Amino acid sequence: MPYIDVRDVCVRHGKNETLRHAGFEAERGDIVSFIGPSGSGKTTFLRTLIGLQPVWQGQMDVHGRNVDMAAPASARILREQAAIVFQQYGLFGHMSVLRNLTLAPTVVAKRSRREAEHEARALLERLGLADKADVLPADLSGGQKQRVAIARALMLRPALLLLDEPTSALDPHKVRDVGVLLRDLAQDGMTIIQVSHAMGVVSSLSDRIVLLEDGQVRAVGTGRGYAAQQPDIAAFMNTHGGDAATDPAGSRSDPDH
Amino acid sequence: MTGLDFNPVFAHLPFLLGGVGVTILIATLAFAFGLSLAVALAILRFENQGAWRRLSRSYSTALTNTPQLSQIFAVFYCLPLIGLMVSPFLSVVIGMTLNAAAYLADILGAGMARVPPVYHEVALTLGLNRRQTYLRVILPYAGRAMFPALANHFQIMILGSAMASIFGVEDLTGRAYDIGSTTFRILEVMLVTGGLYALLSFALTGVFALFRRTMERMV
Repeated sequence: MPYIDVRDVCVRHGKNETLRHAGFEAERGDIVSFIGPSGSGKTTFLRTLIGLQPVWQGQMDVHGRNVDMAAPASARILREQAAIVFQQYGLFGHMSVLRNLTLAPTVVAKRSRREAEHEARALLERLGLADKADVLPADLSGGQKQRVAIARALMLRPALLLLDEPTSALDPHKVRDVGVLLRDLAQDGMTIIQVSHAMGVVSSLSDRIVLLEDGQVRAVGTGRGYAAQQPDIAAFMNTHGGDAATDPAGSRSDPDH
Repeated sequence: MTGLDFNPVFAHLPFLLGGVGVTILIATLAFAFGLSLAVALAILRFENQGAWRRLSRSYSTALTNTPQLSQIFAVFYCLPLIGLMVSPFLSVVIGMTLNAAAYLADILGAGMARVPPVYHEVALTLGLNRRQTYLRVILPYAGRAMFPALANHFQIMILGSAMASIFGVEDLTGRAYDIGSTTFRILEVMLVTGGLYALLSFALTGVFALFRRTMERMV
């Protein structure tokens, strides 16, 4: 039984079906990448996994627990399982980096502030941001903001880490750093699901690649280093990725939801 | 015409200075209550598109386009009509509260509109409920963004509280009238009173600057 099994997810906007019976499986510690042309439903699919996008129907089994994604209470359950890093990061600008990390653990999970700060500082140190704990997000570079956003998500101790275009605003050097970080997290057992246009990152990092077209899963490639060799995926990468897509500085944001 | 003689005024200076406290109290109470009401009004228009939003906007429109003095008079004379006998001091505080809420709701509304949309989704995914999102994210962000405007309005309220004297409240201006009527040195006492208002304003500017620096350190 896979660690995560998402099945039959349908999203409707009026008469339009933006996601049609989409699904995927992943094992613990997998890095899964959603790829596809703009408007294919990648970001919509990602948002369903954390209850930000209402679904018409859909089931998720995660860590042996079944979630009816269409049920009204599913959003809360999904958010207990997953954390997301938004493309724009969404760091709260009026709080220090440290407070951004400790807000949810102290206010929502009611953990002690001291314990949360201790964990947050350890996490920041691991991500090379130990000296940034007390600064405002506005004083960070793009790469630092993203690592802080990842750290904030990790403070929730999620089973699933979702990332929307994690490399879209980063220069190639920083993209490599993010790749290393994601691989480290995956090795620690974190299951990561990302939407990405950076085909170089996708093919080198992913244990599974899910190709979406017109709201449907067109192909799934599996196996690190092999996933991108699935014929449909390879064809898509050749036509939509190429060298430009391996250079994340040239990748674009995806307004596909 | 004889020259200016401040000695009779200075002889009453301790009494006059006692009015500073009343002035600060009126403005502070009205600002605090007004801000609370403004938060509710701003949230009403922030979260709703229909009747609630129109109601909140109409309130601000009505009270920012009529004289504050008329509003205080309305409170002063209307409350007894419904059986509520309140002191002149309280009438002034209520009138100024209602007026402040209208302006502060506009200021807070502008601040809330500046909150990046992604913050709402981030708050949701972090597990914050609606109350926590407002208290921890939206209102602090809006408050910081609009702090200069909020501080400025408080200073305007300090100066505007002089209207309390019309209702017999012994604030700074009320006491100045008292001294003027006993010493017949109206010009001198009003010059001194004006100077005290100016000093109060300068002091508040310093306090707000200090508050802002402290707030920025407490991130």
